[in-house]
Amino acid sequence: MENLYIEETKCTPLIEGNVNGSLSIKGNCFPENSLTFFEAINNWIDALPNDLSSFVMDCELNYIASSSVMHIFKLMQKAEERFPVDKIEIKWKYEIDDEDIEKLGEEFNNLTKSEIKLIPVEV
Amino acid sequence: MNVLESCKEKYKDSKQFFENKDATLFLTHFGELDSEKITNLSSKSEEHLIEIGAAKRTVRNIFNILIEGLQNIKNHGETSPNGEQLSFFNMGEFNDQYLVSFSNLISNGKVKSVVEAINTLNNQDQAGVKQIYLKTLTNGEISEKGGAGLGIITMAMKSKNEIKYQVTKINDDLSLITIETKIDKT
Repeated sequence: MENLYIEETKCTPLIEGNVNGSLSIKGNCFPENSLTFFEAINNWIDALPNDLSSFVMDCELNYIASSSVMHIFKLMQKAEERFPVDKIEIKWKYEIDDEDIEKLGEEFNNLTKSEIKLIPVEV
Repeated sequence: MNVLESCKEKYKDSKQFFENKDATLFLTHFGELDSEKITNLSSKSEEHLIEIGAAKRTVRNIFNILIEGLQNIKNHGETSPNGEQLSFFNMGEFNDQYLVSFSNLISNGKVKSVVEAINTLNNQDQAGVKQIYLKTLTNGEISEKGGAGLGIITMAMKSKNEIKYQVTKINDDLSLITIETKIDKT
């Protein structure tokens, strides 16, 4: 299995996945077809070994389309299906005055079993 | 009048509306949309809003509304008999609000369900809209085109105002639907 790398575009985020158990999603996220875009990431998580010591998901999103919101939520759910909750760490970074992205992180925190760390970022 | 001519006529009327109301129309588009055009239109709106000193939160909300509205047209807009996915969009500024409107072809058979969905949102307060959003998000259904059914709900959440709509029947198969969102300046 290989690391995952998807280059950033104006409408899709930089994706960096390390087989040691980390996934970073950073940038704008309004792909033309969210199903196609997230398929590679879903497949990559599916192929990760079961016995990882931890799985860290690091999200830093700017503009995000509603369909991508659902896909990110599904990635979190998938991580919880694959790995024990105490081995999952989800970081949700948001621009310090971006209340909507902050609230989205809070909603995910309410909807997932894992604890999501909300991290304000100065831009 | 054929479908293209009808759409052009409605587009002309929609631009005239801004003029009649003494509003500034600062971004407009007629024709088919692709991913690049959607990104460019959204970026242009962001640049313009920053230039005129719009609040950062307003800039973000409008950008999000644009992405949802334009992707909605691209994913769900019906095509004319010539195979063109005709649509138009206008964005302008009034004294105390910004107005963004999206128009696309829709098959007559789908009008009722879309109108019902908008009416349901309009009958809710913001907490109610949020509940519908969370329910849809956790249902987790995503269409083949990558839509999650959250677009119009997100537009309602971001605009915080009633979503207005207008449906004009064009022929036995098609209508033109216009969805209008208003965003307060403060």
